[in-house]
Amino acid sequence: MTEAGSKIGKGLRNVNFGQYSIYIVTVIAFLFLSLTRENFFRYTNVYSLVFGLSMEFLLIIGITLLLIMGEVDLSIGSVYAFAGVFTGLLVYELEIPLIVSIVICLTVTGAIGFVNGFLVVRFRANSLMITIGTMIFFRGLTDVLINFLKGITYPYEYRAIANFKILNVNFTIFLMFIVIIALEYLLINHSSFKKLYYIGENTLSAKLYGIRVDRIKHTIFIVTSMTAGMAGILGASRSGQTVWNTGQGLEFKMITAAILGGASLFGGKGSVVKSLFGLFLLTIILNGLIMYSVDPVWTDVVVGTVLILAIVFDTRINREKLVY
Amino acid sequence: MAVEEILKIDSIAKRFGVVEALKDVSFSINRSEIHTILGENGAGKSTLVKIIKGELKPDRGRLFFEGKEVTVIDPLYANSIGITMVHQELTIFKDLNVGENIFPNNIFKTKLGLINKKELLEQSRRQLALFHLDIEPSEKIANLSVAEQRIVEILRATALKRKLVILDEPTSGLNEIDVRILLDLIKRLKSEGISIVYISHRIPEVLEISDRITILKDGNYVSTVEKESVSEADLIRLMVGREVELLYSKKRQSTKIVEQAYFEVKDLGKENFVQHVSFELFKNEILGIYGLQGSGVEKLSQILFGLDSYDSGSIRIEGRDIKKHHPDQMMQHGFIYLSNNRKQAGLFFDMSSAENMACPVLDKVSKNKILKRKEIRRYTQRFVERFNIVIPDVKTKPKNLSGGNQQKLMFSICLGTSPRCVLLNEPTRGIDVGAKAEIHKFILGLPDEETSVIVFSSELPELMSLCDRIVVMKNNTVVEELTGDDIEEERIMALAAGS
Amino acid sequence: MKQILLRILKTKEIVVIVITIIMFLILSIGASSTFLTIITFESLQASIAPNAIVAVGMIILLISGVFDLSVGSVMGLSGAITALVLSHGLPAIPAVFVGLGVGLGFGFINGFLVAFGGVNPLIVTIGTLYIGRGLVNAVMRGELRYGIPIKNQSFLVLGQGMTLGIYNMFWIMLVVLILAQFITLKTSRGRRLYFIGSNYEAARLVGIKVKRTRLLTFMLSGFLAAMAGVLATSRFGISSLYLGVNLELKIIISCLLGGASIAGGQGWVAGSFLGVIFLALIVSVFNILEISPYWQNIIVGIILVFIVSLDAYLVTKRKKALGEI
Repeated sequence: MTEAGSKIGKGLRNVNFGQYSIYIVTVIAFLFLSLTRENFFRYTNVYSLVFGLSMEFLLIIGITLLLIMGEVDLSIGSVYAFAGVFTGLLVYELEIPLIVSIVICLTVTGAIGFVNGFLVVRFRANSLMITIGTMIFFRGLTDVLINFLKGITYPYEYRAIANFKILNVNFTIFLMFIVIIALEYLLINHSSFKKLYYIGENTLSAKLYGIRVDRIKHTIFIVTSMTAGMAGILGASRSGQTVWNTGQGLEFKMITAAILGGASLFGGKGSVVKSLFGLFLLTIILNGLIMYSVDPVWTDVVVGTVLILAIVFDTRINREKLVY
Repeated sequence: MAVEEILKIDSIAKRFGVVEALKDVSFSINRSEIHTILGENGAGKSTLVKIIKGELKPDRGRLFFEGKEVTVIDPLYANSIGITMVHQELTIFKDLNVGENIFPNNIFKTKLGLINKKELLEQSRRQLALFHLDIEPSEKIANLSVAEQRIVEILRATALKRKLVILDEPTSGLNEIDVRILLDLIKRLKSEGISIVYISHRIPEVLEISDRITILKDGNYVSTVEKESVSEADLIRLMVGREVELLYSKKRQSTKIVEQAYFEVKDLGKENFVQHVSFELFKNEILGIYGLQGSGVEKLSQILFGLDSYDSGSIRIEGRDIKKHHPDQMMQHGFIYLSNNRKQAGLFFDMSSAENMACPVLDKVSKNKILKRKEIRRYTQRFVERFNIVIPDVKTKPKNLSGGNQQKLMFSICLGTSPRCVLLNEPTRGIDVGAKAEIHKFILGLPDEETSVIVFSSELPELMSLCDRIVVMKNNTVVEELTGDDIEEERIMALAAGS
Repeated sequence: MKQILLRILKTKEIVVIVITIIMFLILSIGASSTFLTIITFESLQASIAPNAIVAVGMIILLISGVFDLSVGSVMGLSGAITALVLSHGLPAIPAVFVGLGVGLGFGFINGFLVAFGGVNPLIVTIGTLYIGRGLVNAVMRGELRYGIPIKNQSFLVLGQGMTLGIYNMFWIMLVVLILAQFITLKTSRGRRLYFIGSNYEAARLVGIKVKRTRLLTFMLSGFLAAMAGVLATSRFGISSLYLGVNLELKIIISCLLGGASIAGGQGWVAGSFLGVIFLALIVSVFNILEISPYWQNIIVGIILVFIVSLDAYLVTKRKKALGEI
């Protein structure tokens, strides 16, 4: 099997398959659903898909940047949930003004990222396992807070954030396009962002040539947690009330999306535009399941399967000599 | 006594794309002999050995092992018919003990079919004693020195009753004492009836230990000679094909002592690694630092560049103490470091050569932090020409270059930073004689360009031909500094390895 | 004898052993009326047994250098499916086989992808974790949400019955433990796991069938997780959506406490049992002190982070000493 598998891997590599395939597949999926399900290609449906994307794009940024460096952060889903609830707590219970609450919350998420980064960088600990630990911790903490708040609806101004519109389009959609395109440009052309690729490709060489690897990794961990926090605030604002299990499984959805978009667990590759398309593809698939009246319980199964398939392809194409 | 062939290589050819790595190579290896394969990088040695070992399949030709034709499909198959290879990078079972590393297939069983630990230790002890080795089989292998670990791995070959053992640079990175032990071990292996294929660039060593030597050049078979009938110069000529003025005779310049040292290290120490290291580097000189393995040389080079920290002592550049001490700060002072292992560090194998070159000088090739691609290409091209790097295009990735060209690329990356001082670690490790000579020429030319050099090398002849002064280290500290006529091989060796 | 004692004192597990003994003593002295009652001892048995069984599977994987995050989902799913088929009238023994088969199936998928596909075991098993959890939800839909009750007596005996005053499942656990420890210590097949974990490639080159072993160990892990799921479901008499949730991390913590390392090549089966007891005692302490489950999660998270950091620190320290870093 491995002989055939590596031949396929080589073939895929040669075709430079990874470069444009995500765009093609996403377009195909979109067209397929548009043509076969009349409910798909309606303004309301497509808009809600794009809107949902604009709630989550902040998460995909952090994951992509980390993957480029060969690291990962599995706590983003929990931080997402935590940030939403924590801000709600500050505003509702402690009656701290909204802006201040948001600032406090983001500072806290920054601290979380700091701890993640510290443990991974200082102890060379496996970022997967460390961030699973942080994930559990914050999942637990969030549950404590939700329990404490006993199921409230968030105050009006908090809920208004997500609904803020410009020209009748939610501002987050504009934000998404602007940020992603700007970030992509930077990743390709800015010298500081190029360093991420060097770090992912060969950390030792990067260190040797003066790249401050530890500092950069640490910073990106902080950025990841903070953007997860921002996304969490937006998400909580949109849902309007405390919700159990919010953000559950987001981290895997994000990793799947990023890998679909060409990033690799082995580092050295990644693009925020393609990651976003990967996320869009996943969203389309899940929406398609609903369109085909598939029971929502199958969502997890589908995500899990796509994740496995994505990882298998990632390994086949990008693994050099790693063997388990 | 009839000498029989154990391995016959018959018209083997192998091509990678347009490159013919091996063109119709035929020779044979006798039973119980130590047979060295000598040749530059690109000569085909590693390709041939990979074919014997089963990692590659030849395009044409046949292999005969013990008289029978074999098709070695993979290393596992090679092992099963009795061929094994001991690499430079060890393949030990780091969590287990010595005995289990020697006999990893657990063949000693009790009557009930369970593991017989006593028997395992007993047999291991016997093997170790057979080769006069003083290692305890129940010891965890992680507690052994690198040389001892290599020995254990070689013993595994005998324990598993291999008939043909390929040794790839077995003495690399070892100090003289360990080299001695290893060579003796290999001679004893031969007397046990094992045939050995030896690969090494160390010609004096090759001359000592081999029975016969086969030279390959540019994928062609040149000849097979008996050890007694050749000299070092003969071998070099066969390898390179022209009269090469023996690499290792240099006219040493007299030291130009300037008032103040450019780079000063005083009483540097790091617990367990180095202590009381002091020396000075003057402007535009080439300083060598020599020490056997375990003397602290490699760790010292890392500390000097900020890749590792130090506990005591001071480092001064142009009289000023430097406090902050990371590679990027050292680079700001004009220092650069050439790694001793380009496979691990120093190159980005899967990025283009141009991207490789750009890495340490990103600001130099950007405007307002935005990378200028044309500038990067031009910058890379300049070095390709200056150092004769054989490369189709600046987009080519290092993984597609030969060892010598990879080394030159790494050199270029370093020199591109316009350094005032370069720290070179094993600058010609693992490359062919031709590229080696080229690189030595570059290094010798550096002082003329206002660059000072420190060479950390375990090749004494290299240091002797490059350096104005040599600092000798032993037991993690500096023993002596030699200049001018004091520099001679025996004197240095006595300092580094003597009592 | 003294030699053996000295060797034991030097292992890193000694810390855990000492703390466990201390906890045990504190609890029995300090809270004697509540703690040393037979009831608590019984419930301790019942909560330890399934976990210990899963831990055996996990430590075997850890020794060989990988791990399996889907064990919790497999446990839950096999319990749910067994309850389902029982409720449709299948007799006890075939039902048990169906449940165990689920574990084998998941183990096969995991093992195949990791061993033959070369895919990162962490992510693969997270994927199967998701698929498994989703399937549990799919099986227990609608009114079945609250559980599928089991009436089959011969099945319930497995989890609820006792022999000689000790739960049947505890006996089963003991058998599994002893067998596993024996095999990994004394047989060459078992010992191979250490070789594989220590250096996969070298193990392959000396003729050990690494891929096949990998596949089998994953299948074993799935099998044991399923066994635990069947036993736990039998004990409760009803299937549960939440069976096995977040279990995998607790099991990994137990194994790491028992001497295993994420890097592979270390640890022993008995150590995993020790770790399970340790964790069970801590949970008992929490329950006696009436700490809410949310806080328990938080503490579990902290312990995990701490243990993994410590493990990583030790591995890095060793690599530095060997000059590999």
